[in-house]
Amino acid sequence: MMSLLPLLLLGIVFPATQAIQFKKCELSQIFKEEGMEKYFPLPELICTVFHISGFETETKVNNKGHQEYGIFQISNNGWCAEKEEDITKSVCGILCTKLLDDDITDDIACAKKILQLPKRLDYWKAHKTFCRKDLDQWNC
Amino acid sequence: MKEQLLGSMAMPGKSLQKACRLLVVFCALHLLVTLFYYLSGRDFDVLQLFSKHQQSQEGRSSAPMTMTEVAREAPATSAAAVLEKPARDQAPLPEEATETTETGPPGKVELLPPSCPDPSPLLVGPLNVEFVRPVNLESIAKDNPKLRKGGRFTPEDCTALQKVAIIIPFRNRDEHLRYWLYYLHPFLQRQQLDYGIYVINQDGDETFNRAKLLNIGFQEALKEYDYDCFVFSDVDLIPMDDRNTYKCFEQPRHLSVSMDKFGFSLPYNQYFGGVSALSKEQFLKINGFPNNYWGWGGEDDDIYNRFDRIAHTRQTMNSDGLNSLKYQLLEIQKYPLYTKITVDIGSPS
Repeated sequence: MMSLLPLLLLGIVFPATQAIQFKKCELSQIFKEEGMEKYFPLPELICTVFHISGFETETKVNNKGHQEYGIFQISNNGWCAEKEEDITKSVCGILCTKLLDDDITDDIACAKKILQLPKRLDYWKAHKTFCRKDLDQWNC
Repeated sequence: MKEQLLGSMAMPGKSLQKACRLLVVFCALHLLVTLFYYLSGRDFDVLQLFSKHQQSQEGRSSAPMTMTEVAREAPATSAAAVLEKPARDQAPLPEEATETTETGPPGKVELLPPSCPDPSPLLVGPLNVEFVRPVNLESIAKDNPKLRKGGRFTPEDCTALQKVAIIIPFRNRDEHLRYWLYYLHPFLQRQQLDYGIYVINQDGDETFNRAKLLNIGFQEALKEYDYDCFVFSDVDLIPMDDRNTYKCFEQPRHLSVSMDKFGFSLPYNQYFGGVSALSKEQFLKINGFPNNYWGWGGEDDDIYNRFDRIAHTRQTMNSDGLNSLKYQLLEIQKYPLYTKITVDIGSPS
């Protein structure tokens, strides 16, 4: 009976390690806790993230020859690094694949860096297209 | 004293052991029951009793089924490994490959039957939709004997409220299409519509252009029959309640507002994708859909400046649409359950 215990524990732990798709208000709460509101108004942020990744941490998209990673769709075109040796050359100083895991604190840190650059949220095209009006639907 | 102590300590230990044993037995029982329900979803003869209550065709209006959450299409595609090409299911006869224009049901020109009632009396309400049990085109055709070639149906006892062309943009989604046909044919017949199914297949490997395929579907369907209503449906969306009538209304209507993959609420207010219904007049009024909005199919497709394109379609409506539609018709195939129109739509300019 006792020998089954580790198997049972494994059965509980396994589903916990799969990709996360956040709900709107879940992610809103995380953004608030991480102080994102200081970088950009929350409804526009949430709206943009929805349209680029659907709140899914594992999102990986090919955009005109470049790969975009994670919930913020960070591009390997200088924003994150494909190889270890290029990490220091990238804006966010991070390995792209690290942006695909469940822990989004590194994704958020990267987004914060980008939001301080001149174009801010407009680096993400979805912002201009979808997220400039009708923003009440993104409140929580 | 010691014996007394031993005696008093043994009691709680025993009942705790007993409780633990009961718990283990309960859990084992629970697991067995779960296993039983899992197996009953498979195709075992013993459990056919349960599966008899599954999706039924028109007429058999038993008590409405309880709604179950529809599985996401991702697990569905892993259920069956091989995607069959329609050519293998039903050999299309070359001489019947092209159909002349229809004039409607024969021999009923003089005495038109009365209008079909609205709502249809054949509706059953919530449907049990699942994608675990495999479906094949032959059995669907057998289950729907009133269909004519090309996936056409006209109600016999009454005059349909509308003539509806169902347009499905398509490329390499045969398994999805099979499930779609399995559920939608009985559904549409219960709604007593005069309908036809048009699968518009994009040839080649260029970026998928859903909007342009819908325009082509509109044009090609009208060449066959004077449809007055057009329902545009993604191949992977199944309605869960047949009171959601797939016909047209006074305004363009979004028929897939609550989708399980979006938690049964609209993903965002401006969303009009999935399944929508536009009458012929409404569609012509907006010059159809934009031809130059390429891309958007999922994680694997190449995205081509998609957000810039969306932003500009309001301005380009008059110049980019039905009036500028250019494509090459490669093949029209009339299968028992649908008409497949394969086209070459070019590439992003």
